[in-house]
Amino acid sequence: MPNGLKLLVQYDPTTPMTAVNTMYNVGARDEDPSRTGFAHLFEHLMFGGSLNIPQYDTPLQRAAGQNNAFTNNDITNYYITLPAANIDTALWLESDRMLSLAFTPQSLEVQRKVVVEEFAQRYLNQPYGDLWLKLRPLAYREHPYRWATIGQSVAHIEQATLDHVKEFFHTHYHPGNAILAIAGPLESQHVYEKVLHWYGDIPGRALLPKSLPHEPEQREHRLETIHANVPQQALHLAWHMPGRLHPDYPAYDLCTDILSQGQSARLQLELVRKRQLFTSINCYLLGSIDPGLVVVSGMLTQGTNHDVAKAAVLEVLHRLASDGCTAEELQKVQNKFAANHMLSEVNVLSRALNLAWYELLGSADMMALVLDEYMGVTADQVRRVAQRTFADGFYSELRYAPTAPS
Amino acid sequence: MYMPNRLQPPPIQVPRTLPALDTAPLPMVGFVPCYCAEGGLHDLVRIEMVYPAGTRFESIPLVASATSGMLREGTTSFTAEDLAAHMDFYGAQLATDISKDHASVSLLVPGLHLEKVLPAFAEVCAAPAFREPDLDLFKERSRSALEVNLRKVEFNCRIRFSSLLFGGHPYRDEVDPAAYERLDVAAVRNFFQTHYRPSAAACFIAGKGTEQAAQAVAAAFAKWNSDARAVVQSELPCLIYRAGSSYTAQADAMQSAIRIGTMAPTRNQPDYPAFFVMNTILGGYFGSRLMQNLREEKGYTYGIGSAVNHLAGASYIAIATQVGAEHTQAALNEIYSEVQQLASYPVTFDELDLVKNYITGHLLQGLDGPFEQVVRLKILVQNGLPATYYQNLLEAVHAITPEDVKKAAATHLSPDALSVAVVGPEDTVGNISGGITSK
Repeated sequence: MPNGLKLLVQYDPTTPMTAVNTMYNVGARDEDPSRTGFAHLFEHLMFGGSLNIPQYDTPLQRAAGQNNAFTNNDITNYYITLPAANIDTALWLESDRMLSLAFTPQSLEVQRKVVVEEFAQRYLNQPYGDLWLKLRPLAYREHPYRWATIGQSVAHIEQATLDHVKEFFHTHYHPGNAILAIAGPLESQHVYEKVLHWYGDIPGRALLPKSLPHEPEQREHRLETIHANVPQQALHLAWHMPGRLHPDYPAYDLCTDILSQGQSARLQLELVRKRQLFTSINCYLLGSIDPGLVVVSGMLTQGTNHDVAKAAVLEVLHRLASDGCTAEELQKVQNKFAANHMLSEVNVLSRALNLAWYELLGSADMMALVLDEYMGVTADQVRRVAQRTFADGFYSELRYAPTAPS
Repeated sequence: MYMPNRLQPPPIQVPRTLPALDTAPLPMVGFVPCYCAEGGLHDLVRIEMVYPAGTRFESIPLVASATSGMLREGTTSFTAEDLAAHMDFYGAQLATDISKDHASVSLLVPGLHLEKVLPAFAEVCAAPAFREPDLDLFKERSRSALEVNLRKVEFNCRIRFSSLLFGGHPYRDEVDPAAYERLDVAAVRNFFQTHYRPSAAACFIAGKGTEQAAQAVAAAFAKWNSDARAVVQSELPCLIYRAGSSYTAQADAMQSAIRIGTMAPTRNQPDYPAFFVMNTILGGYFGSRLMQNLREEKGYTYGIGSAVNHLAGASYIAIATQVGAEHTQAALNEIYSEVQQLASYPVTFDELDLVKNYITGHLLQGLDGPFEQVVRLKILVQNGLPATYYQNLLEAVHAITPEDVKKAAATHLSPDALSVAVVGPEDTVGNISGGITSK
């Protein structure tokens, strides 16, 4: 659109519902290191009333709609589902808060408290809840992925001021930094005209190029042990990997699937079933836009020590790096990916979200190509990425050790 | 230029018709009744076999959930590893689930591969192996997960609340990690033999090509259909509910978990629609009174909600939240105050209309697409409710008056009927004044 907003429409006549997904290209990675957790706090404030509409939720609920939002290290995403006939209500609400928020001090004061309680509930008040608060700064030294979306500490949230809020809005919340994706039983031309009506008068602002610090290559093994009131020993290992747009990304993803997706995967078979060193173990990657992490997370069986457990994990990883995988293993994870890919497109909401996400990555067309990319991965590619990742011994290691019960 | 009127909400339309469900089983599949929700854009089908084998049927602690969990651990012709590899290879997801009344085994698979994995799926349901080493691993894994849960105030509060409602009744929750030690293969086999009978099963199929899938299911299960086992009688004992309270200290807790609730009307009782609307106003959506008060005005919590839960022999309402420890008493007061408000004063038409519309959207969303529809279909079939149930409910909801809402709260949520469980730091729960106070 002329003001820089991108609109994507997917027509699906089989449903009476429409999904309206608004994705802003701003996440925790865009925060000032002295004000972490701000993107997420800001997401809460987006529900505190906008320029012309005192309450966001009320009119939407009256229009039989449901909504929510999430923030991660890369993006902030707002989504609505409602009967297709009421799409104007969704566009009215979303366009008004893109135009300007109400910026009331009360909203900031209450949401600061709410986010502090969210911090406590999700990260501090349950065993292992602080994993990402500890593992991120161990694995990242420079890049803003070193802090978790919730923020580095409760203090950062408590210090947020209304001026910070306004500045953040001005920098990141404008049409050129947003992608609107709409899926449902509405023709694209019809949707386009409605979006033009509601968003056409929102002024475009200059898009500032992101200049995020580059994470230097990790040249050592890093180890941290957390002594905490947890029931069981746990082990987390993290290796650096390229970002989401790197051509090897699908190979990395399938590599982690071969290692741990499903009960027939290598780590499960070898370390849970056969050697019984872990009660559960998982290998996964953080699908972040900037260079991410391959992570192995496991819960140790009683009486197993961390050194033995870790050596056993490394043995499995090194074997994949040296010998590669079988054709059957590769086909298994590719079939599984294809099934999951289909599953991720079952409802209008996840389709709208996927459209916006791929557009943000570069082009919504990628959504159609991603399956082919995964199907085209070869066993040799899997071996090479495993080799590149696991061979050198430079990784971050986080151990949880139970303190004596109090 | 574009000049939208931003001051005036756009006109809205709220549909009054929900998609119809078909509660009649397919006629042609003899032994196990198959219920279908057809549709979807993708070649995916989900098959779920449901057995009356929930936790309420167990006489040995944890045996029902162990039996359910062990179904994925191999069959007479597949080891646990081979079974997993076989399912994974065809992109199939095999899952087990258990509630208090039912246990189920489900298969989600691209239609293209359905016939490849159905024979193994049938074996999972009818001829599981229950090998001892696999059970040992299962016990260790489950015990470990339980130990983690037992460190969470939210989990402990749920358990305390459940024993206030269901203590001594088969609907109680079992959470003693040591009970895993006492489980053995014989107990699991015995539970399976008794409760996973083909003649008591129902099959729910959702996605694309459900009728064809039903034929394939019938063929795959044909050899397991002989069922000479005796029907077990397991009458649910009468539940005698008396309100109670439980305040439990948990070392190191930063927040208190709170649960408050009581018995509720069941889905087929005449005042259920009014109770359902009342629950929504109280804590059933983001705009609810509890959420607005405790989160959006006071910032005591990240979230609070109330929900009506249905079991085969009882329904109950539970209000649940986690609050900053220092707000425990204040939060309790506010919750009781909101309940009392609802029971004392009629809601405004404005609030009531909003909630009716919200509920309409919620029901529509819950019936959008075959994988959502099958969840509702299962509820209807399992509870003997008619195909028109949700449409009737929607119409009844729209007919509710402010007086109906007030009456539902006054009748069912009187202060002496409410049970309360709080788990939090010692200095906090020790000081809860008289348990119940209200403004």
